[in-house]
Amino acid sequence: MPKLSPQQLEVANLIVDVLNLEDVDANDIDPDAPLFRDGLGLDSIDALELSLALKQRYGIEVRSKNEENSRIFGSLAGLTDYIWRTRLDDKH
Amino acid sequence: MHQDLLNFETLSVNEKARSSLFTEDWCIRENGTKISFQQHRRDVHALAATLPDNARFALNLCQDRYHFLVAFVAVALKRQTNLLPPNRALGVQRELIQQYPNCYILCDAPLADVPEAPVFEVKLPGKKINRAISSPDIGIPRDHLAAILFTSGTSGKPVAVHKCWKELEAEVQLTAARFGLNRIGKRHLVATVPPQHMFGLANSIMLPLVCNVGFISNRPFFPEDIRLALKATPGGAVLVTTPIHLKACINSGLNWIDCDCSLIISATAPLSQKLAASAEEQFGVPVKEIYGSTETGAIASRRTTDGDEWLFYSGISAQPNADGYVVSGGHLINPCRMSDHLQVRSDGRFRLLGRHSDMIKLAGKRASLFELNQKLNQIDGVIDGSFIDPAAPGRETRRLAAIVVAPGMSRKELQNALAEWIDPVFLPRPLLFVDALPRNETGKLTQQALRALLKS
Repeated sequence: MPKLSPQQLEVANLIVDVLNLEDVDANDIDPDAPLFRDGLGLDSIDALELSLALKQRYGIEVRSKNEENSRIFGSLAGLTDYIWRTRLDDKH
Repeated sequence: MHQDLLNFETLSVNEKARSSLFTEDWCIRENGTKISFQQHRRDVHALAATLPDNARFALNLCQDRYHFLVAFVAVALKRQTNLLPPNRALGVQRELIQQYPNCYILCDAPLADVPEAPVFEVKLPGKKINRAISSPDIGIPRDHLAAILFTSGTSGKPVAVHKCWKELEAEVQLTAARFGLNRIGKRHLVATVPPQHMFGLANSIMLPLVCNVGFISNRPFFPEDIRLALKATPGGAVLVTTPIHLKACINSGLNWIDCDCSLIISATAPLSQKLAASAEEQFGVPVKEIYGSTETGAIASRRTTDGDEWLFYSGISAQPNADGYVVSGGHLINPCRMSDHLQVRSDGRFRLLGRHSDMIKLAGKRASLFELNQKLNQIDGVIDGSFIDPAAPGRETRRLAAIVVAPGMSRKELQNALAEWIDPVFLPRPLLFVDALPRNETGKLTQQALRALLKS
């Protein structure tokens, strides 16, 4: 399994923390596996909690009609990319 | 009162009043398109003309509220019955299609996996139809079986709940009367709940059909979606939601006070006084709660910040029997046994004292532990297994856990097999694999023993 980048590990820890995934080690999350259903088996309520955490930690507002959502919430890699891209955009 | 309500011949909403309030914008679509009440009638007839004549049931999977509504009414207009599945799990859909022969599927987006039944995608005419063309009335016999919803029975088998058109109509008449919805002027419902769920069906589909309110067709989910949907209403909104969404809104740090929302209606799970008080403060409007079930529909309400007493809807009353209470009157065609313990006063007010059974309620969805355990133990490769509610008795359940004996099965295989059958909110986490379950000498498992094993 590919090793996580420091940013991916940070987001993985956030997910494990926020969603109380007691039986998941952040390091073991496959960055390219789907977060919902197949991979970590997250559901829509988890999505709500995760969206609040993204807002609190990174100031990112999640919307469901964002065209990119399936990619953003698709995998840890997608989510991490999105967070860092959005933060860069905000700084410019 | 009871008979009057169920036998009224004409809708009590003055059609003239409705058309003057909502000339063009009874429904507002996601892209800003507006649909009049007249237009919806034309869309219903147009869709009905394309649906099969000799089918009996339609599995209505539409997600957009306007698509769902048009499909729902078109199916009833054809004297067919909407099947409203409790979730989108494929195994559940397959089972319904087997159980209800002569069934087709109605959806508004291509389905990834198609169960074996004819599929019809709801497509509306892209351009507006000439307003000069009259919109034919929609005549649905009031006794017609409009919908079958499904709920978890205590015995473990899903129970089909039958709803005829007049019962659905009468229920929302009572809701509108309780909250004064026919007199509050131009308001649009913004709902965060799916239309296939009883609370969503009544309060986001039947309410606009029967009473003097409009609606927003999309289903906002994240707090920012909800805020934008509230702002998209031309005359103000009524928010129809759940404690989970309300909590997310309150904690989001967004500004709600300028959202022009005049009422919040919450249901599906108990709302805490604290959350209700914060919501009232942040939104600047009263938060009302509806009490009911799939079987009964809404039967009582309260303003949460007023205290823990509920007031039955007009005409509804509870009678004690051997093992609890039975409610009747109002919109109820048949008396219903309550699954909650009540403490009833003579003036139509009551307190809830907790549930009878092994029912678990999460995110507005209901399942029995018995049923979940049955599904778990049916899976090939599972030798023994049990779901557990890790929350101590009386505490809020956040998520279920499971302990399973399944040598040779991976975590992922087991999760995938479960996802075929049960709603994602009930998927167990943590999922613990063990060599044997802590069964006592009679072979019974107690939740205490399971909780102890889970902690160790």
